[in-house]
Amino acid sequence: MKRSVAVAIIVGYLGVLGMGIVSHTLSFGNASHPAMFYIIWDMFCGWSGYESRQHLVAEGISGNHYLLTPAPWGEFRPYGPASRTDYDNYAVHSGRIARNVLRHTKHEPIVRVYLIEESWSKRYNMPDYIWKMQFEEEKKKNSYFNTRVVYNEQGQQLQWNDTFTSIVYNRDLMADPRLARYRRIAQPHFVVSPRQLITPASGVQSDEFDGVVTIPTVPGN
Amino acid sequence: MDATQSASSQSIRQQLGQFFFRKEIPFGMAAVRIAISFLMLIVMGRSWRFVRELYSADGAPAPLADNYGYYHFLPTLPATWAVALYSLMLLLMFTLMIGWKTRISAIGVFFLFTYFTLQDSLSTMTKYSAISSHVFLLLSLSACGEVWSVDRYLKLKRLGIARPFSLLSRSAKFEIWPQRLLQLFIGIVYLGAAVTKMHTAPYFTGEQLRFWLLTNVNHANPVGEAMSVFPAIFVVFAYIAIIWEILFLFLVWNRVGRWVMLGLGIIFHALTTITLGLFVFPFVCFSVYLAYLTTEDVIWGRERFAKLARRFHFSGAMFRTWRLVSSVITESALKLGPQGFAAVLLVLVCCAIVLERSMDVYGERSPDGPYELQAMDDAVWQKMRVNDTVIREEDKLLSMDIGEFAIAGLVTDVRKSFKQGTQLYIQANLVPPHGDMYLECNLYDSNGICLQQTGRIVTRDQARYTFSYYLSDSLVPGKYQFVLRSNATEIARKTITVLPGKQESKTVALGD
Repeated sequence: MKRSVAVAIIVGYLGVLGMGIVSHTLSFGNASHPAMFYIIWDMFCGWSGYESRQHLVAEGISGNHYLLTPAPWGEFRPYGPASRTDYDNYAVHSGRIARNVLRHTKHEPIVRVYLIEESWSKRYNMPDYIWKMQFEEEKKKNSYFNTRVVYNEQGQQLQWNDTFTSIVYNRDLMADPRLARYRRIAQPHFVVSPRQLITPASGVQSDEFDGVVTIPTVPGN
Repeated sequence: MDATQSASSQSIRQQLGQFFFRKEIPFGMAAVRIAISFLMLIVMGRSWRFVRELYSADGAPAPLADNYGYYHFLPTLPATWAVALYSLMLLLMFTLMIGWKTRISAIGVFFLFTYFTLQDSLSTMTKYSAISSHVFLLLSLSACGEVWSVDRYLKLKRLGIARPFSLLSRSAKFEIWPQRLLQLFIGIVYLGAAVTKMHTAPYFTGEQLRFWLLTNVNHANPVGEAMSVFPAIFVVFAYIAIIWEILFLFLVWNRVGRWVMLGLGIIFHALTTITLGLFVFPFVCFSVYLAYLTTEDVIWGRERFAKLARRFHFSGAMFRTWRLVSSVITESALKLGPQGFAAVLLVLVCCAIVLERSMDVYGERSPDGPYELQAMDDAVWQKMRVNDTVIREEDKLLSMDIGEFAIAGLVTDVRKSFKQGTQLYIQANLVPPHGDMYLECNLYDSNGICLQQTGRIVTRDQARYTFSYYLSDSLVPGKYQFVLRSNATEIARKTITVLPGKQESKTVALGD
């Protein structure tokens, strides 16, 4: 009996680990459940040419702005100089962090909270002595800013934008006149169900029979 | 034929049975138990002060499940409960380390550690946390408390052994399968890591590693920053690392293969510390490597240690200190008895709750009330609110390297002096995303007169472009400058010295 349990554990455990390898190799179901984090070994899978930091800024009713990170009581920096919000790559948790700081501090009524992404080219991360070896020009670090998310006073998302590097990449793509022309002449086309969701007031035309909606193209878009 | 097949399958079954169910003294798992508990006690102990903020409903937890779209996957605890259970987890890590109520400690640590790491994906959950959860699970299934532990001491005492310390490292033999699962686990982790690298094309061009070396989200990595100047090295390292990761699972089982694979592993992880600023991950892996410890290794190590101790006369003081600490722990455990374990934990957890409350993390019970937010400088806000979408041309350039030799398409001998008649490479390494760009590389003399011009379109997917120049003897020895222009804007300028030599001039542009 004891041996059978041990065999079942061995087979089950190795089977789960093996499933993780197959799922990861074939990119099939590898992000389907939080448990996959324990069997997918994708360490250092991503990288970027830009270093990023994220700032949470609250806008008061008076028009004043308040930096919410680092929190006034200090912050936990787990792996180096970056703070918790900097690791929120998908901007999933920053709203909760903002709410927590606002809940535990004195401040005027808040109307908006912004998650601002600051990015700079990683060439400026070179120490000065390496910079001097590499360049004859002076080191002049330049940061780019991008509003990732806008929250209301309750911390609910009002607006969500892509990361700075994704925005730049897409903008470069759309600068191609050929692609821009195709985009202009393309008709966005959605199949929606149920049809009742589309109201005449929304300005979209609804097909009575198949739930197909065609959004009129905006000139120059 | 059937008989042969039957014999063959029986042989495989026997081999598997021998592999998983051979009985050994669990030195390996005991060593893993001590090392991983000690390490995680330090790692998790650092964030105890922030439990309320990181893991409780009175703070801002960041559950990993939210990233997968599974909201409210696990309950978020009220602050007092979070502090109590987190403190309990730390205490159980300590009892697991010393091997007091080892099985209960291991099970408790496994559940609590996994819960708390899942509740904070921003500053607690990493892949080393996931690996540690696996290790705690396998420790809870093993007989890791049967050797080098308080439990062993208490068992010997109960048997009436007069000097139990001398027998702490002697125990009955147990089936080795939990240790085998841990050994297989780390091999499978490396195999998965190799698959990740196969999915990442820039890993093999050195590009990914170069940018990681210049990333400042981990601890300081001055050696890595210095190495970023020699990107060709990474291509060599990249291939060695992936070959090692694939072979590990298959070669670690025999005597020589084990030393080679573990040795390469130690070098690999030590390099991630000095080049990438990673500290915890390497030590987690080193802790798991202890699962490969055998009885022979322990005997060999004990003999070597005894010889060294005799030669350098350090055994006396060292053993006395060790014996004193061990005596205090074991005698305390003995006096407390079986119920004492729970009582001690309960008292300490209550103390932790009181201490955490008295710290008043948010400053809400201070005479001035909660902290007040300070308005930020409006000029800073005005700068932040601009949504930049255009990158400066100079920010697209990571480095401009001039040299004579290239390995894996990367200039390796970056220099400033070249003889006439030299074929040299001017390489522009780019920072993505850079869009499609027109890159020019022009040669100027010391009077600022342009002598040669060449340019190419570099598409958005290219990580670098290499211009090739032939320094002819028509160039008078002296100072010259190569000027790199992107989309008609100068982005870098490098001065070189042309030394006397003999050749004729021609300019070629080579795509990379």
